[in-house]
Amino acid sequence: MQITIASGKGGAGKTMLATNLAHFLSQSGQVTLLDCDVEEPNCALFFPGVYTSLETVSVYYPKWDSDRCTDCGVCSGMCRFNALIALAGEVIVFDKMCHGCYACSELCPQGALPMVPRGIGVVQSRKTGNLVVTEGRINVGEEQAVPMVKAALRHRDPSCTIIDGPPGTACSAQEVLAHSERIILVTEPTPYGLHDLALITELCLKLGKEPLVVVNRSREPFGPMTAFLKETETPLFIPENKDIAHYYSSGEVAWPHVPVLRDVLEQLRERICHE
Amino acid sequence: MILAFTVTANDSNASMDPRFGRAKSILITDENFNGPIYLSTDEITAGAHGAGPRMAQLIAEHKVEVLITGNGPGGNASALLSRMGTKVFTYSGEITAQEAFTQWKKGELTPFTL
Repeated sequence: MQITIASGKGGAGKTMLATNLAHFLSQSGQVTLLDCDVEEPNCALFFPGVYTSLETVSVYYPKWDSDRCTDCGVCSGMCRFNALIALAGEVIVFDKMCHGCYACSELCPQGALPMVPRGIGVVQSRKTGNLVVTEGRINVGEEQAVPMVKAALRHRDPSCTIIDGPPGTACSAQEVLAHSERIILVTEPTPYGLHDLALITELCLKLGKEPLVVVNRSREPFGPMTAFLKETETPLFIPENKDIAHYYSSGEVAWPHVPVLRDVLEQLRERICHE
Repeated sequence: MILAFTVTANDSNASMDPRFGRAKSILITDENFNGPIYLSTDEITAGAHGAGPRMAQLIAEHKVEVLITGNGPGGNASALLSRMGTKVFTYSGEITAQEAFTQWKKGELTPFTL
């Protein structure tokens, strides 16, 4: 089972739920917690230890060979991302804008644009008890997260993986959602929370996956959200609770100490493991 | 000397366009404001990515020595422009291309640095 915890809005409680759910499920079997929020992975903070495996991730981009180039300009007109620009007598490559499609390299009549690798980050893992914590971590300054997300996704464990997805609905979030069997959306009962919940729900439905919504920091009912949730699978609610915030901000999983959270995790296990 | 201005319409009395990569049009003239002629940027601004570098390429193709624009080009476009030795100046406020030219002539415009 591949379960992704996602949220349209950042700060809704995605990582809190992912770390707690993974740790909770690991009490009764092997679980992989896969942090695909590659621009700011933080699940591993909750499970200190030494990384025991490390894989470097590279992308390929064209490198201009001035000796071979005849200044024909074919390459420059072809790039949909304008990642390389032919000036008189020179081709300038903006490697971070390159999407690695190989078109310029393959179609250069002189073979003057060989593809070369550039490291963009790492995937690293550590294990505590039944729980394997794996994170994708992109290098500072890289502009495209999708290749890094793809590399991290290769480390899914087919039996049980909890994925902490990137926030929002952009390409990197779509990449993760498309590879998930079950999607749990975390939101909060505010206008901002509802706005972004509607966006990501629409995205999930377009991908043919009906999400399960968890409303975090639930207080008095927020009318417009209640109305929205009537149209979805029966949602779950995590009440607003200072203890959860306290344990989370101390870098600890809260569920062993907070019964209301434990209840929600038990209900989640019922729902997702009985499908 | 060839000068380029980012403008909002094909008219020397039209407002300058503060944007570089997504400028509506490029006005090309010389140091006496002869011409001017206008370059279509539709194909560049229609693309989702890399408008700045493409615009810099267009500027290079016309052998522009002085570029006058509002916000200034971004990092990638600036790298190309400086490679070609194009001098970039920025203005402030809402002015026409004609007014920007006059300010440049009087040496009142700020040289652009990233």
